[in-house]
Amino acid sequence: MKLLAISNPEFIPDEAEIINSLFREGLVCLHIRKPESNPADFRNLLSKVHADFLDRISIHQHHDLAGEFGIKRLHFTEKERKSVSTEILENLKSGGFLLSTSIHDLSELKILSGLFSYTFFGPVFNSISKSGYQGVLSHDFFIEPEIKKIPIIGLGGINRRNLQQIENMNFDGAAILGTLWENPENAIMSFRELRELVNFINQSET
Amino acid sequence: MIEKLQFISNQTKEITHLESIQTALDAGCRWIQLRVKNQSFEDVLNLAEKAKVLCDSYQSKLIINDFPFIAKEINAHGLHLGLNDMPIETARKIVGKNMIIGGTANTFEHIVKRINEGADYIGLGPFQFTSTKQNLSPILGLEGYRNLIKSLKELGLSIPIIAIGGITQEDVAPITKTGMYGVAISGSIINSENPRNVVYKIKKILC
Repeated sequence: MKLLAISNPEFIPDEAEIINSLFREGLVCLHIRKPESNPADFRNLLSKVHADFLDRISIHQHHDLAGEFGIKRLHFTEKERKSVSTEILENLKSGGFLLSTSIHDLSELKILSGLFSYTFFGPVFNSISKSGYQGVLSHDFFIEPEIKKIPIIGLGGINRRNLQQIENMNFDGAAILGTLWENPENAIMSFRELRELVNFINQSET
Repeated sequence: MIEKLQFISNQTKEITHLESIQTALDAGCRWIQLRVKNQSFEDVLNLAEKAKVLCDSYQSKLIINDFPFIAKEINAHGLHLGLNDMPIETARKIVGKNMIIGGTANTFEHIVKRINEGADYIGLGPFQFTSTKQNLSPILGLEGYRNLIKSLKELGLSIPIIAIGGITQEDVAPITKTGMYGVAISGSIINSENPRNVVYKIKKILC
């Protein structure tokens, strides 16, 4: 399984430094998601991310900043996905962009454009960061291999205690958010522990 | 060998985890579980290192609650996992075959699941109401213990089961009569006027 991270929805102190450290620790992909952000603040954050790491960043908002920073990953929220034309997605894809999206119901996999390289799906567990944001899945939930058109990344309430369940549910990866940002000063240590855990989980795969 | 008297560390306004462990060691406990909640990995690691030095100086066994990487790093004797912690199978990959792993259970289904997961012992509770633990499951009491032990016997299953949750010195004798292997105690030792006396009496009943 892969381990991805999603940024805190609000800007936090020293965010770029923490992000750079996470990448140095081996984070393979960070989704920057700031639903309420203005372009200036978003640009300011991206400008502080080390140039070597920009290819591991996907942005959820302000897609027009991608060119300026050489960002090659774009995320389309469910709402955007439903309003964007296939033509635009095709142009982006042929322009070398890696596209991702989010679904909240597995039945949507059927109608998902093959232009997306992977999708988030959740909330799997009760959210750590959003109170009242309840997980949607039962404990014996399992993603049947035949419905997987593209890799599915679990999202919502994932922490070191339930990461194994993500593997057992047949997700291709986990995206962590709350467990990383609930205490930003501990983000690096939390990530290290999760990274090690993923290594152990992957080692035992047959 | 699983000790029959297990001490669970605790932190109150008056004492720290390490002080509670020191008290238990002085009183004669030789199986100590460091159970730290709502603190960062680094803080728990720091406490675990100090607890290990303490326990080593008393030739006591240290069990780390909930943190397999820490248990492995400090070379603890064992690891204990609660119902909401990671599964025993995952932790086993981290700590290896030789470390003791205990798991919490509240119901018969949990006990069977823990046995199948490869637990070395089970902490079964809560025996009664306790103030040292938040989000308590339904209490089991002596009757609950008796029924669960009976059901296990009927299935031909066997594993050391430690009673936990608000247990006092007076409860130990009736608990052992239900067929439980041992007891885990926290408050009754720390809050006692004479911890050494409490531990002595409990051990006399258990061993």
